[in-house]
Amino acid sequence: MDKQSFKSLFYQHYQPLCNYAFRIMGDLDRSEDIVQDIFIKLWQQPPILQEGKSMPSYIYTMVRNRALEVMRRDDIGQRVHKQILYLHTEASEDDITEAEIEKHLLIDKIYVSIRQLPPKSREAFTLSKINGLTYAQIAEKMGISVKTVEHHISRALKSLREMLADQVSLFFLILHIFLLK
Amino acid sequence: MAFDKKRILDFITGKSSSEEYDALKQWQQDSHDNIEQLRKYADVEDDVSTLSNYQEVDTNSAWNHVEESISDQKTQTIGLNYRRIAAVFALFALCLWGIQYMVSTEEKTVTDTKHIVYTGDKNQIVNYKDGSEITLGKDATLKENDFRSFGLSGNAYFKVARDENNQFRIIIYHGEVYVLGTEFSINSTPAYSRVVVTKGRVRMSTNDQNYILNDGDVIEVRKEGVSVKKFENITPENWKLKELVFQNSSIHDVLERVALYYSIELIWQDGSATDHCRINTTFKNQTLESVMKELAILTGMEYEIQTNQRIIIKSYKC
Repeated sequence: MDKQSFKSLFYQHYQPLCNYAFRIMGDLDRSEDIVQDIFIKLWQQPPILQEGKSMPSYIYTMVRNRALEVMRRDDIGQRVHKQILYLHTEASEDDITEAEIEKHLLIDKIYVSIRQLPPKSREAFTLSKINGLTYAQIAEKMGISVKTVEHHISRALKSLREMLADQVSLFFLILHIFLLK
Repeated sequence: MAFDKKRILDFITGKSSSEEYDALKQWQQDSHDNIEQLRKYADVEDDVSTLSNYQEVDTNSAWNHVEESISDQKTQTIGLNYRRIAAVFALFALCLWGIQYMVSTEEKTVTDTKHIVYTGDKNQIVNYKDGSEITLGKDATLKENDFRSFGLSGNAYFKVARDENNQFRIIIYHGEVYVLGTEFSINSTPAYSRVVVTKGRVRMSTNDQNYILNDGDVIEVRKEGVSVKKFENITPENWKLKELVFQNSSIHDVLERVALYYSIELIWQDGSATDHCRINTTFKNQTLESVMKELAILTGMEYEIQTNQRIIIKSYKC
């Protein structure tokens, strides 16, 4: 792999990978260390990939396994983490599939799109759809009327739909996640 | 016992009371379906939780750090040629040893059969004290209950030594299998059990019914019922080599046989698809992934290989 391709790979996956490790470990600094370390090793000793396996799949699998190894070694013992550890361990012998990687990239894209919303719309949208507050609670928190909250959220959805116009599946993923929530 | 979405989400996020936690822990262990359901909810929770806790990182600064490290490495290696040559020799010796080791341990063999849980990537051969040979697949569990009597979860291939005084018995999820001396494969899961006879005769007992199976017979037991089919040319030799020869076969027949040989469950998502393709090809000792990839190229089929030993056939255009 030439350096330009390596750099593109890094830029495309670094933030999703850090968040993936962060979800397992709950420590962003260590997550970043793991991801950077894996990329450095990848450059120094490029792996020989088995047939049908991609480089991103290899990297995500490495990050997942390293994060789990650190978790086990440090015995981070809260129940929520144990559950996450259990669910990951169940599948920890499998490689991360392309579909899973796609999902990490989609969530990253959703995050970036939400960050691009106008400040008020972003705040109302985040409080409602991600933090699960009611419109009345948001109105009180933001010091605005319920009607205005509704307006901000519908504007946010409209903007997201426009931003993700060429990625209908992404927009539907957002709706799917929030409706299930 | 069924649990609503809120209770399951509380369990996943560690918010349930200790009584609910224990009850759900028990429910989770009751069946594979419950684990799957839990995993589905965990996925959704994971997506929302990932978004709400999504962390912004400084990718530029991280790249600078990585670039610095990989550049340092290059500079150092220029002055380390002698060490490098020595390292190459050492690596070469290590590779030779590694290749020899890998060849000799391609299939690990054990003789202690009291309780084996096998999760390795390669097959594990169990040499039983009566001379029988049992090859366990990934994630299989084999438990010796008594002399020539076992419990099995997962998939395994049995080459049973003949002993007319002691029948060989295997208890599986959906019944019991009895033999005197023969060769056959079993895939036993909570959802379904499948026995494929490659040589000799096997008796399968399920739901108070007995089925006598001969070479090439395949029995599948699910909660919906029992089906018995006959397949041509299933022999111990081609089973071991995963040698599949197709002549003028429909994609349906091809996939059914692939499912047998690789001990997987086949799920047809589109039952109405036409099946006019005729396949003439041979696979020998290939991985499931490469067989499916080739078939997809041949037929335009769309599929998904799932981690729980399932293949979902989404569509095909033959």
